[in-house]
Amino acid sequence: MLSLARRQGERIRIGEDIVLVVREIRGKHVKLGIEAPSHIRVLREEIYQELRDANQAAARHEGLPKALTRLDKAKP
Amino acid sequence: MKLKSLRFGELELPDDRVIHFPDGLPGFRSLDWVLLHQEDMPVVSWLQAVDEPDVALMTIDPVDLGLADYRPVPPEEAMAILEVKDPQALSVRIIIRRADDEEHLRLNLFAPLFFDVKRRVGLQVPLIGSDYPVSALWPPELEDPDPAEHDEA
Repeated sequence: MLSLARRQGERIRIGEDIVLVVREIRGKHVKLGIEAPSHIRVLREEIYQELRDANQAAARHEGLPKALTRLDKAKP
Repeated sequence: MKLKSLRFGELELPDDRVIHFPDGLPGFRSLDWVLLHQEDMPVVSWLQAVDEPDVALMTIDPVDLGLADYRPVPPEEAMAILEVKDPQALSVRIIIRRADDEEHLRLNLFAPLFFDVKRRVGLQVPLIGSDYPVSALWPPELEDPDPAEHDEA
């Protein structure tokens, strides 16, 4: 992994279109600004992992829940 | 096109059935998916990965679960990725799965799927800043015995 040391206010450019800005450093927290084209999805890693885990859990459950059967019967 | 699916076997489908997910779905490689109907249960469609026979996710229109208050609005970035101007052009489905008790459902209300049905593109969108759970128990009147159930096993 590439590691770059940056001070507050300094930037990192990724490719042509993506810029990371170190906006604020306070204790153990750093606030980053991200400039990227609107079609690039930017997510906190925890959120990405939560989505991935939920999707993979859904793919493992192949069986139909019984509650669904009742739902279909209730429909006209 | 020919499609292999663990659940549905080998299928021959018209090419225009494919729905392209430009961002894919977190957790899977496939960018191309098809929606296949569950025969005996028409409200359920399986989102089947074109390139991964063993990957199929159960989906449903939240309206069919009676979730009248659940009206997710796609954020602007999602519209940009899908290249859609009018959010009305998008339809919503949510990923559901069987809860561990085999009886009830778990709903991913946090990250619904938005589809532009005409242009055959789709996107899973986390509703950042919302309180929607990633694994809500259904029917909602039940008391959730295990809100943390996430099927790590």
